[in-house]
Amino acid sequence: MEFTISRNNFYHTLQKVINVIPAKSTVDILYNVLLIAEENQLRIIATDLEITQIAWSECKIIKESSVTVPGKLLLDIIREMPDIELNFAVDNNLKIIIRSELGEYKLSGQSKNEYPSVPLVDSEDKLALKNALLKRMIEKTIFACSTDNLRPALTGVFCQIFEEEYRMIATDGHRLVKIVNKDFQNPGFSRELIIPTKALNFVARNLPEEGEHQIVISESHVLFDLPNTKIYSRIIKDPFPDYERVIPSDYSKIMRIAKDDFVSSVKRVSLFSNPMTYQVRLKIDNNQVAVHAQDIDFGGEAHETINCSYNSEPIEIAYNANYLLDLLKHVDAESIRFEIEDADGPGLIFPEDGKQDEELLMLIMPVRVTD
Amino acid sequence: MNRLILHVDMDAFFAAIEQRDHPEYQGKPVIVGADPKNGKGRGVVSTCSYEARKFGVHSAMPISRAWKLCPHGIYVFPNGRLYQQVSNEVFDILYEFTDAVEPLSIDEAFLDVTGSQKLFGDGRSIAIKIKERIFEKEKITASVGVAPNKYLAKIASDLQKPDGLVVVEPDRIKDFLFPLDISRLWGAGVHTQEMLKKMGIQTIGDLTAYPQNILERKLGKMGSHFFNLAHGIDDRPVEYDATVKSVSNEHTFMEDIDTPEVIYKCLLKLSEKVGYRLRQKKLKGRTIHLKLRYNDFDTLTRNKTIMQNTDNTQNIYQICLELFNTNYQKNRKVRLIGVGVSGFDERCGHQLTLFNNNYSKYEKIDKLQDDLINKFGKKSVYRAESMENPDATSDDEF
Repeated sequence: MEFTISRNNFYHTLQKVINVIPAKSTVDILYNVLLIAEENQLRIIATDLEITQIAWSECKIIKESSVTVPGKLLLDIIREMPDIELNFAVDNNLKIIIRSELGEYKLSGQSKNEYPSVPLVDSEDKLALKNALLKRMIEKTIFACSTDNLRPALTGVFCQIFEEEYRMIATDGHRLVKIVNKDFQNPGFSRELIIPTKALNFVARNLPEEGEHQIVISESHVLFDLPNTKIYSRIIKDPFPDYERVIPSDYSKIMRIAKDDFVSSVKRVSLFSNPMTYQVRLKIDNNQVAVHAQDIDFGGEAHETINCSYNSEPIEIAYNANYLLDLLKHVDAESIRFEIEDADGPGLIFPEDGKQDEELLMLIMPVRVTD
Repeated sequence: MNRLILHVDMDAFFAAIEQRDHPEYQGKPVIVGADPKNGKGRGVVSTCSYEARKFGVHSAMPISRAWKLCPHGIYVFPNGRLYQQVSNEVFDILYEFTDAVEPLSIDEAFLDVTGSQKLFGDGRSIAIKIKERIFEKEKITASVGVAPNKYLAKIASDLQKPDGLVVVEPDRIKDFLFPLDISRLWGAGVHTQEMLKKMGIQTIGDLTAYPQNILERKLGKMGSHFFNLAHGIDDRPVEYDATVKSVSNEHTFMEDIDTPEVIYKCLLKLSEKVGYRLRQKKLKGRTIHLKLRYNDFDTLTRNKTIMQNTDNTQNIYQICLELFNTNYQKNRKVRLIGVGVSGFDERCGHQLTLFNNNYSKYEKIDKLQDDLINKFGKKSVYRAESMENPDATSDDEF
């Protein structure tokens, strides 16, 4: 195997896939990337068995072949180089020599035979999405996923593809985000799938602002076909809970409030909450919200009152401030609508002046306080 | 109902640890205490081995005197941290049998095991189990007294030291107590003993010949105290801190381990134990702890706080696994591993959830396992995944 490539091309291609390499694995070969030099192209593949990413770049091939190399080491070498031409050669014993005008670097490769194969995603279920749209939907949802491996279904984002709309839902059981997009080309099929957060993070990172991309969905995998890279991910097969059942639709107590004021106030007050629970209490009454936090253990206490629009009976409700702030930060509207019913039920957050063709709903479960 | 009280007393604790860790000290007089400085040292003996006691050395004796009695002894400066560590591990064993543990010192405790008999058997069986567990884990011995109250238990533990076990059955209290010398009376100093001897009282049995009012007249308040003790009456409860702050279990491997799979199994087993104990106490905690000790005694503890308090075995296990995998340094040999749960404070409120039935499968498993354990004992059921070598289990164990 031998090829020559510019340092920048090599570096940017490798950088695309490098984060797929697991931080810790019992399968040592996963610390490697697979380099394939074929048809004037260098393809670099990384996988953690759940996610596989391929990136490619032009190069000049002298001899076609493939090899696997410790990924982080390779990245470290190339990062330190100026943008010059590199010659990459592998002998029959898998010894690698990288030559440049600066000198030469030798390292050991491993055969590609032990490297996991790229999943085959062959399916008629294909849809095209605008890059900016998918990026936005991922950003609005992904933070609300669970990290609890006991409930695998909640560790990914639930995607629902209908003929007339595309939805993404994320929840960890304490909060939930649902985003629906209707500016959407009818794909001619309906599908539901749960995509792991790690994969969506990589997808979001590789999505440019402009243009569109294709998604292919097979029984077990989803493929994101992006500019100069492809990301394959296993689909989470556990059933997603019936989220629609837990979103109430008959609430009568509605508070309208300026988002930034609300966020700042909760942020300040929550500094005085118990560092384990981040609990803040909201007392909503007569066009005002009182935000209160107290840390019994360390004696801290804070209280603020801000204006809102509310004319139902008074209500007092407690939340984990981190959850509340996380949700509010992801609502891009000046004013929000906060719907509640009682101190034990979910609270709903909507943007007041939402985007056209988009529905965004956020839900937060309260903390039950025993006085 | 009769209470069942144990007094557990480690035998020559500090010296025993030194002998365990230094095989060359075994069978020799080991004196843990101040530096004797060839007989000119100040300070006292803190503990000495039974071999040293033969020369008349005993704890609290000036070190210079010990030197005179036993100049060829092995004098060791105390390693407090090590002793405390071993003590903690011994107390962890005691807590496996009951929460009602009243520590008297670093090497001595009362246990009220009245409520533990259904699980662990009668007093003698519990005492044997405790002794075995301590020896198995720490390779040092303890003496145990079993009796209906603290006073009798304390006397009993002392009678057959070292490695002793004396059980005082409720209907044999007189047989046990009456022949004993009055020096065994709690609170009777040299002066009182002399006074009693003048009254013709040599043994505890002699004392019971006196009516209570006469003893009170002669000895004041202490009179009725001695009267009660002599009759084997002692109602003082085992005093322990009932507000549990954490529940934990740990395991020391027979051989140091560097195979993660073996450690995973152990983590699961420990999670089962901790989960079971939490559920028995009706406690749910939010902070999960992992303790990891390498074979060079390099020890680390890591914890993770979760939003939803838990008593679920699977949940505890998953978090420990995560903590282990992110912190374990590959190929290093592990000596000990521990799992704990804390954060039971309910004042901070209870985070409500949307989908309550998500853990139901795991909760059902816990409930089933607890029911079986309560009926058939601790070793009756455990998760197949936690079995070390399934093939090694023969049918006749069931």
